Amino acid sequence: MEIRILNSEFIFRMTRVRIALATVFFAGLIAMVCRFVFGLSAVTNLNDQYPWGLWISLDVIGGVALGAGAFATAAIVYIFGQDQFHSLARPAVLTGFLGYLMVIFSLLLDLGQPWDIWHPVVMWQPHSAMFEVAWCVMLYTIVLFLELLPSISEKFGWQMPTRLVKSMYIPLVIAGIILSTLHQSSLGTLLLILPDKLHALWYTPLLPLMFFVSSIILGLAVVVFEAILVGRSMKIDEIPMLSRFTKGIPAVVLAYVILKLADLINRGELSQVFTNSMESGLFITEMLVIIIPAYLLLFKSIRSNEAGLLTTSIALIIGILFNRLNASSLGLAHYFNKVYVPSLTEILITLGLISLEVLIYIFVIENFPVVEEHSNGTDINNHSSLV
Amino acid sequence: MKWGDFMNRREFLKLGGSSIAILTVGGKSLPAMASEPLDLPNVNDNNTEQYAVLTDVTKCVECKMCQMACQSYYGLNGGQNVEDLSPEAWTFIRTVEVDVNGKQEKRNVRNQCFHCLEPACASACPVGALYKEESGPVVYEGWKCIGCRYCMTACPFGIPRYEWDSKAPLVTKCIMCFQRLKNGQQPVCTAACPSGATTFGKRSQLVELAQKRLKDNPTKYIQHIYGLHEAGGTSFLYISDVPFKDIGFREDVTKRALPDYTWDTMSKIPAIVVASGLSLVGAYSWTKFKTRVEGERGEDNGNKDTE
Repeated sequence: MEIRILNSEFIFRMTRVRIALATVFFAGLIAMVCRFVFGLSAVTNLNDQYPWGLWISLDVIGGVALGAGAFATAAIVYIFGQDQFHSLARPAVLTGFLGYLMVIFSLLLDLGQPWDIWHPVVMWQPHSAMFEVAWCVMLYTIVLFLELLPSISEKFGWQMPTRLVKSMYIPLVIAGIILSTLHQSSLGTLLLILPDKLHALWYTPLLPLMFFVSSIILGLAVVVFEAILVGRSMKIDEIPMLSRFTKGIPAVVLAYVILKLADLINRGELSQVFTNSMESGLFITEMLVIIIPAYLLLFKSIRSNEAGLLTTSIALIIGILFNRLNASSLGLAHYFNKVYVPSLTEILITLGLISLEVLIYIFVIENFPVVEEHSNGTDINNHSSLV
Repeated sequence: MKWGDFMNRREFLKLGGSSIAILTVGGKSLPAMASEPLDLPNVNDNNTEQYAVLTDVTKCVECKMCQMACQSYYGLNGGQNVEDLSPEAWTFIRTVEVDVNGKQEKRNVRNQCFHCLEPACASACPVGALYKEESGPVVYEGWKCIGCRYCMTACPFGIPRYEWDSKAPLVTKCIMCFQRLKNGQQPVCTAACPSGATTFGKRSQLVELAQKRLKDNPTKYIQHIYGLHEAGGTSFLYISDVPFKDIGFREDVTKRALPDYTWDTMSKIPAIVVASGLSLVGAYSWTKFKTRVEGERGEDNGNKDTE
C-alpha cells in the first residue's frame, strides 16, 4: 500500500512493520494528550524523590547520545578526510537531527511549564549545567538543520540554500563538533551535583569525559545500524565499507574501558565492582554488553557479515543507553532505597516518540536525496522497503 | 483566636519591646535569650552577615506553632497532622521515636529548607528562578521557572516539593520569609515559637550560641552542629541530644559546597572550546595538505606514465 501525500510526489509505502509503528505512535499520542489534559501525576510515576523519570533518563540523556553519530561521522569524513565513508555522513546527520527533535519533544512533555521552554535564551544562569544543556540543544539543532538543508533543497531544486551551506560547510562541521563535545559532556556535568546520591560506580568528577567518549561509541554504532538497514532497502552492498568503518570501534571502547578502570582505581572504588550488590550487577552487565561486541568486532569474519555487524551494533547501542539509565536513575536507588519504575503511560509515550522518529526517518530517506546514488547505478526510487 | 490574629498581636507586642538588646556577642545574656524569640538584631548596623535560624531539638514541645504560623501566613492548607513537606506545608514538626539508653522517647524535629550558604538548587536552576538573598533566604521566583526540576534532583536535603497534580506546576519550599526580613521582621515560624526551640539571628551569633550550649552541657548534647559544615554550611542550624541519623537527618551529606562540583567542569568550558576548535582546524588543515601533496604526487606519476 502506498500513501501519496496531498497529490504530491511524496510517497509513503505502508508495510506491516510501519503499520505497527504507526499504531504505537497513535497510542503514544493519546497518552501525550492525557499528559497535558490531566497533568504529570496522572500519567507518570514521578515524585519528589525521583523528579526525573524515564523521559529524562532515556529520551533526553540517552537521546542526545544517540545523536552523536552525526558529529562523530562528520569528524571522520570531513576533518580527517576519510572520504570513503562519505555516504554515511548525510544519513548520520539526519539521525542526529531527528534525535534532537525527539529530545526537544520529550522535554516539552516533561517540563512543568513547557510554554516557558525559551526562558534560558533570555534568562541567563551560566553556572547551571542545565543552562549549558539548553543552549547546546538549541544551537546544535540549528547546526544539524543547516547540515541537512542541502538534502532538502536539492529535492526541490533550490540552488541558493545548497550553495550557501556548501560554502560554509567546514566551519559548520567544526562548530557542530565543538557543540557536541560540550553537549555530550554537559549531560555528565548535569549529574556532578549528585555526589551523595549517585553510586560511586558512576559518580566521578570525570563523568563529563566518560559521557563524551561513550557517546562516540553509541553514535558510531547507530550509524552502522542504520546503514545496514538503508543498504538492505536500497539494495546497496555497504558491508565492505562498514567493515572498514567498524575497525575503529574496538579502539574507542578500549579507551573507554581503560578510562573507567583507571578512574575506579584512582578513586579507590574498584572493589565496588565485585560486591554482591545490585549496583555491581548493573555495572558489570553494562560493561560486558559493550566489551563483548567490541571484542567480536576485532574479527574480520564478524565485521564482514551483515548479521555480525547488526548484532554487535545493537549490543553497543543497548550497552551505552543502559549506562545512561544507570548513571541517571538506577544509580540513585541505593540512596533512596527505592528503584524508579516508570508508569505504562510513560513507557508508551517513549515508544510512541521512537516510532514517530523511525517513521519520519524512513519517509525522509525514501523521498529526499539523503542516501547518495552509487556509481553502480542504483535507482533511488526503485528500492525495496526500509523496514 | 485565629492564627493570623495571633501573629499580628505578637508582632505588635514585640515592636514595643524591641529596644532591648537581646543578642550580645560573647554574651553573658545568651542563656536568658534562648527562651525568648528574637527580634531582628539591629538592622541598621553595618553587619551584612547573613541571618540564620537555630533549632534546638531538645527544646521543642510539639506545639506546632511554627508549622501553623507558616501555613496561616502563606495561606497553605497542610493542617496540623502533616507527615511530610508538601506544597501545602513548607515546614512541619516530625515526631520520631528514638532509643535513649534503651528507653523509647519522643523527639520533635522541625523540617524545612536549610537555606544553604551556597545552594545547589540555585546553581542548578538554568533560568535563575532560585537565588540566595544577601540576607540569607534562598528564594524562588515562579514566573521564571520552566519546570525542569533540576533543583529537586540537586538538593542534598531533598527539600523542594513539586505541585505534581497541577497543570502549571511550580516548585514549593520555605523562603525564610524574605519579604518580612526586608521589613525588619523575623520569619513567622521563629516569631511563633514559644519555647525557644527555633530562634532567629545572625548566623555567627547563632553558631556561638549553639557552641556554648554544646560546651555547657557536654553530656546532654551530641557534639555536632548540623548545618555548620553540611553542604558547605547552611542558614538553618540544628543541635540535638540524640544522634542526627535517628531523627531523620542524613549524615552522609558532603561538606563541600555543591555548586563547586559542577563549577569544576563548567569553568573549563572556554578552554575546551578554544582547544577543540584549534585542534579541529589543525586536523582539517593537515588533511587538506596531505590530500594536496598526494594529489600532486599522483599527477606527477600520471604525467610520467603518459610520457
